[in-house]
This record gives sequence, C-alpha cells and structure tokens, in this order.
Amino acid sequence: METIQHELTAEERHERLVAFLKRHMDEKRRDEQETRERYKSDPAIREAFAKLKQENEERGTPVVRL
Amino acid sequence: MKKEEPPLLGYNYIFIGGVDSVYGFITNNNNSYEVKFKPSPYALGDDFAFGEHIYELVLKVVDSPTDKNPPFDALTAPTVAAIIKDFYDRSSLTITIYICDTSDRREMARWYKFNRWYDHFNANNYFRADQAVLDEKDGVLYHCAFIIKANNPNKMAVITAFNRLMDGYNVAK
Repeated sequence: METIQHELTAEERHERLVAFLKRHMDEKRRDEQETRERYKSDPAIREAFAKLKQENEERGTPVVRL
Repeated sequence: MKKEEPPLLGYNYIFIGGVDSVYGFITNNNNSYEVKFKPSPYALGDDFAFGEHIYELVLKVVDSPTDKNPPFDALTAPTVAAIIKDFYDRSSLTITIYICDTSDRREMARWYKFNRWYDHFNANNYFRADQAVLDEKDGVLYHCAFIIKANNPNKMAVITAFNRLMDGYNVAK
C-alpha cells in the first residue's frame, strides 16, 4: 500500500481511486482471457462441464417460475 | 398417473473448486458460465484485519454457441444467487466484492444484472453497500459493491474499510 507522506486532497484521492479501478479493469481483462483458456484446456473443468451437460440432458428443460 | 415435477428455480450448478472456488452452470441456450470467488485479501487495504475473507465475485461466459452476449435468461439470476448463497454457507465471514467490468462499456447492463442477482437473496440475511465512482476524463462510471452476511461480526470494520477505499484513502498500490 502506498505510504502517504502528506495529506492528499479529495481530488488527489479520487484520482488515486480511479487509477486503481483502471488497473483493476486491466487485471480483469487478463483474468478473463486466462479463464477462457483454462476452460478449454483444464481437464478437471472440461470434465465438470461435461458432467453438468449430461445431467441437464437427463433432467430436460427447466421450467421458469416468475 | 405420473406426478408432475415442481418448477425449478434455477439451473443445476457444479462446484469445481480450486484457488478461485470456481462454480459452473450451463443455460438452456448452451451458454456455459463460470462463477468464481477470487481471493482478494488486499482489496480493502493491506492493513485490513479480515483480508483473508475477501473475495471478488467474477461471472464469465466461457463458452457460447453464438460468440455473442447471451440474451436475457430468467434462470440465470436465481442460479447465480444460489451459487453465492452456497459460497456463504461454506464460510459465513465471507466478504464479497463486486466491481463492474467497464471494458466494453456495458457496465450499466452488468450493474442491473448484479442487482437482479441480489434481489434473489433473502435481504434480511445479507447486508450490502455500493458506490459509483465517476472517471470524468474517460466518462466511465465504476460500480463497486460488497456483500456480507447481516450477522457478520466484522460488519462495522468492513463498512469503514469500504468507505475509506471509496474515499481514496486505503487504495492498494
């Protein structure tokens, strides 16, 4: 965490927060790409989704209760 | 006579596990979703005493037959809500952070979705706070929220840390 040597103004703090959120969005994009690649390549995830698909086929189409 | 099955309130989901506590579900339209709880111990500042309980909620379509954003699906929200509830059942001290993805400028649609998920919770059992942060230069509105169990003994510390974060005090570097 950044050590604050002087009291930041509200505007400076807001800029820091926005910069943090922008960095966070960059991380999210990288993470999204990794998630998609892992979905395609990770045998445990492939197996889990295959099992789920089979269960869904056996169960049939869910009924929506609104 | 065959007994009629009761209507279902959501899709089947599966807990896959791993570091990010991954869950998966598949919709009627064959869209595959991953819901994960990514450990984010420093999200509320590195001096926050309960960082081990902080997770960022991430929902992603990992496979879609059309490669487009899936259309509205009434069963997705209750499914996500059920998954979140399942995760809280594993640890009642969980602090879930949600920050809307703004990368494709569909943050408002995601925020509405998040609100639909939350609507499926029993509101009495959970406490939520949120705040929007405007980046005036880029014209982007960041929606940020956290959810905890209403009886979380660290509730006041979480609220204080979240408010300080939103005020730009304990922003992680």
